[in-house]
Amino acid sequence: MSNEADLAPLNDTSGPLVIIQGAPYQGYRAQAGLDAALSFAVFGKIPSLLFTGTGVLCLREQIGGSLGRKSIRKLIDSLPMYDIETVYVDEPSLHYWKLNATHLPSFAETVAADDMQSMHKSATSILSY
Amino acid sequence: MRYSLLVLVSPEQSALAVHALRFSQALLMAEHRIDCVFFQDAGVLTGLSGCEAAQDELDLRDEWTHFAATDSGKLILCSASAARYGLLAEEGERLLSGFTIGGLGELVAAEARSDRTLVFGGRAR
Repeated sequence: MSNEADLAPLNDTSGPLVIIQGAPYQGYRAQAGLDAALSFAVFGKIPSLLFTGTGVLCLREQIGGSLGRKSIRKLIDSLPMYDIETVYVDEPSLHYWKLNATHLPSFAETVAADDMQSMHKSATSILSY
Repeated sequence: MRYSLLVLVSPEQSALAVHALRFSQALLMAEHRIDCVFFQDAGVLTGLSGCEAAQDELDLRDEWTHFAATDSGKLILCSASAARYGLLAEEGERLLSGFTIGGLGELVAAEARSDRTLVFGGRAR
């Protein structure tokens, strides 16, 4: 779990807070959010990426291949190459979907409800997908 | 104040598509500026030609086209989403006037230039 000191670097980033709330293969909304996050990173505006609601399911290993879709999780695994070194995960949503740290990429960090409020307050802008 | 909008839903998908247009019109009436309205995901279907609303219903595409003819900001359809939804198949024939195709870099630049960026169609928690 994060504390406020851990989240302090978020205040320094010039990129937006990108929130992924959609399940990985329900339409292309999650993919669209990740594409946007990558674009901000490519242009040097490193976004804070927060997964919440059914969006946390994007973080576990998936069956995208059998659905004929690209794996969202593989795309997430590539984020550090684009200088997105940490992704944030809503802890209550994680519990709701019975996920734990073993399901997440190593660079994922869980955040409590209070910390999410801090993220929202400190963000220069918020793009919600 | 300078605004940019991100629209993620198609006209048929959600009333939020109407709210995006009405909000844009209200911004201009209040003498704010719109840098860009960026349509992504199903929102790109807003720029699809050949769709007809029922006679007694709001024709959102027609209203956006008229909006584009005013001194509004750019109406940009995300190129990746447009390709996914088939708008690039016969570019020029499938796009309504006033809309252009652009990459996500346009959204990045618009967000940087704008005081506020609002999302229409983002999922509610």
